[in-house]
Amino acid sequence: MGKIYCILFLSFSVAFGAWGNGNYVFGSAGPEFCIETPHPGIGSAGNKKNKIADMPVLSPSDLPGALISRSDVYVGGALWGLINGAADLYYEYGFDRMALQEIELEGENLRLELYRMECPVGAYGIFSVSVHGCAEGGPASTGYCINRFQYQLYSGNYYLSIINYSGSDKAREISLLAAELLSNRISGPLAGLPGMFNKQPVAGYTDNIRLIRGIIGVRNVIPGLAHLFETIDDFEIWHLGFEDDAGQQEIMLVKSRGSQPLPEAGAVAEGMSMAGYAARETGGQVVAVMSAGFARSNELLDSIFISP
Amino acid sequence: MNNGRRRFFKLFAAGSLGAGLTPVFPSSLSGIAPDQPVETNIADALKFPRNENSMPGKYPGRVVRVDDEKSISDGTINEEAVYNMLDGGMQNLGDCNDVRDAWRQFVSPGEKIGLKVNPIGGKLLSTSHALVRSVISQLEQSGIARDDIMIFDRRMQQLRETGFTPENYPGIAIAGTEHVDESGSYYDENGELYSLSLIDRDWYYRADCEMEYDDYMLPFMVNQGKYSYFSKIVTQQLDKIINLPIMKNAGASVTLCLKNLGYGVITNTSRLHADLWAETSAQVCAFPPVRDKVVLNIADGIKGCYDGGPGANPQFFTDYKMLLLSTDPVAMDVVGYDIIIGKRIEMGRQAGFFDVGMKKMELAAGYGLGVADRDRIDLRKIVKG
Repeated sequence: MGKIYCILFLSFSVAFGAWGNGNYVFGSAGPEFCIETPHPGIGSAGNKKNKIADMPVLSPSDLPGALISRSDVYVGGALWGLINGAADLYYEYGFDRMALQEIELEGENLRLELYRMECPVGAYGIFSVSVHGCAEGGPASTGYCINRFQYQLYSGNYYLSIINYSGSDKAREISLLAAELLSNRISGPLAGLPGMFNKQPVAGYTDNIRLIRGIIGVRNVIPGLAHLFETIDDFEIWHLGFEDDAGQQEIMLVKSRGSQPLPEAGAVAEGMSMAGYAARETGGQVVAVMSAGFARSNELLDSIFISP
Repeated sequence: MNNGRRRFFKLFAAGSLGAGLTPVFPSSLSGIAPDQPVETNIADALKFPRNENSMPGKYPGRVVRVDDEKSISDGTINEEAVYNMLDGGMQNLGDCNDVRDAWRQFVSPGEKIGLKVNPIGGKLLSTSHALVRSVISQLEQSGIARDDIMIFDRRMQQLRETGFTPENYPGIAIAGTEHVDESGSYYDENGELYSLSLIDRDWYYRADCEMEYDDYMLPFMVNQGKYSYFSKIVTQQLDKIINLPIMKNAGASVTLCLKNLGYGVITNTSRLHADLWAETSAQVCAFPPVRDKVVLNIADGIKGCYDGGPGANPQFFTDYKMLLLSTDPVAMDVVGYDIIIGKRIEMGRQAGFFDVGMKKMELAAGYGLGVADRDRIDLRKIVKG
C-alpha cells in the first residue's frame, strides 16, 4: 500500500529475524521463521489478469455447471476498495492479495474469499480472530471451522472464507466441495503456536487462542487493554481464554516486533480486570496470567513460562 | 502498517498546539479533542452558525425503538412488517397520528432528499431494500416527488453490487462519490478519476496526518494528503439527508449514525482509521453539509452483526429484529451501542463495556450534535407484530 509499506516491512524483517531463536514452535514442515517483505505488486498498477493467475482460484471445469460470475484479485491497497476500513485488520497480519469469486451452482450462491498473507503466522492470525462457535472443526486443532453460512480454513500462507447465502444443506455441500478443491492447491507449512501453549494445563484449550496484531486488533478482541497499546507500533498478542475447575482464566503473551517498549507486565494484567494476576517480563515479551486468585495465576504462570 | 502510518503523523503537545498553530481560536475551540493525537480543523466547523435543522434536530435525545419478531424469518426479511415498523416508529417519533405528518416535519416537497445507505457489507449485510423501499414509499405518500429522491454512498460499485440500481429503483437517482462507469473504470477518457469532479474542494476535513496510496487504492481514496474533501452530493446536490445505517459493531464500538456519515461523505479516509476513528466519526458530522442536512436517522436493525463489522461474517450475524429512529445521531448511537455491545458480551466476544467504544459519541455530544448522557435519552419502545 504505497511507500508506507516499504518503511514498515523493513522493520518487520529485522524483528522477525529473531523469532526462530525464541519460544516459537512450528509444525514439523514449517519454516524456522518467515520474513515479511515488501509486496512486489505494491506501488504499481499491475495487470489484473496476471495477478489472478498468481492465485489458486476455481475454474468452471472444477465445478461442472457452475456459473462463476466474478473473479477478481485485490492486491495491496485495493482491499480497501472492497471492504473499506475492515481492510486495516488484514494489513496488520501481512496481507498480500485476495482472490474473490462469486459462484452460482444448482441455485445456490457462494462467495469465496481467498487471502494470501505473507507468512503462515499471518494466515493463522486472521483466521483465529475471524472464527467463532464452530459447529464443526476447531481453529487451532483442525485448521478449519464450519458454520451454517460459512466455511473457513487456513493453510500455509492462505486464509479461506466461503460464504453461502442460503445456509441450506445443499449450499454447505457445495461449499465443502469448493473448499476441498481449493485446499488441495493452497497447502503449505502451518504456523505453530508459541511453545507455552503446548504445555499443561493449557494445551487442551488451544482452539481458543487468538493472535492479535495492531491496535485495531486489540480494540476488537481485548478493548480493555487498548489504552496500553495506542502508542506502540509493532507488537502482537497471543491471547488464550479458557475455563476449567479453577474458573475463568486468561493468558496473554505480548511480543514486541519493533523497538518500542511494551507496557509493563502488571499494567497488562490489571487491564484484564480479574481478581488475581501474575506476570513476567523478559526478553522483549510479557507473559501475563489472570485468574480468580493470585496463587492460581502464579501456579499457572510457572507451569507455562518458557524463557525466551 | 501502524508503524509506517505513524511516521507521517505530527504529534503535538497540547501546549504547543494552542500556542503555535491555532492562535486565532480560543482554547475552547482548539482543533483537538481530549486525547486526540493530531490537530484537525474541527474548530473551523464549530464556527459556523447553527440553524433549525442542525443536529440533533427536532427531538434531541429522543430515540424510538420498534421491535417486531416477524420482521425476519430464516434470513428472509418481511417487507410488510418493516413498512409497518417504520410507520409506527415515525408516528411515535413525531408525536402524531398520521405518518405523512410525521415525515413532513422533516422534509418538504421540492427538496432534494438523499438516502445515505450503507452497502459495505455487500449483499449479505447492507441497508435492506425492505427498509429503503419503505422509506421511499412513505416519502412519496408525504408528497415528495420520486425524482427528488437520491440513494447515495461513497462507493458506486458497492451500490450496484447490493442492488441499488436504476432497474430496482426506477425514477430514483443513484450516486456514489467514487464513481465507476459501466465498464468498471474509475477513470474517464482523459485518465482522470471521475470522483475528482464529484468532490467539493471548498469543504474539507483537515487532519494533520497523511498516507500515500498505491494505484490500486487511489480510486477508493480519491486524493492523498492532509485533506479529506466532502462529496458534492452532500454539499451541493442535496437539501436534506436521511441517514440509513445498519446495526453493526466496529470492534468494541458501533458503526451506526456517526460512522455512516463521517466516513461516508468524505475522501481520503484510510489515513483516518487507526488513529482518528472516533474523532473523524464525530468531527465530520460537525461540518454544516452534514450537521445541517441530516434531519433523520433510521437504523436498520432487522439483521445486523455483533462482531466482524463493518465487514460481513455470517457467524456473527444476528437478527436484532428492530428499527431505531431518531433525529439525534448521538443518542441513537448510544442506544445502538448498548444493544450491540450487549450482544457481544452475551456471545462471549467481549468481557464488558469499555469507555473506548463510547468516545465518538462523547466527542459528538461535546460538539453539540446530540445527547450522549443516558439519563437524558428518551428511549421509546414499540413492539409490533
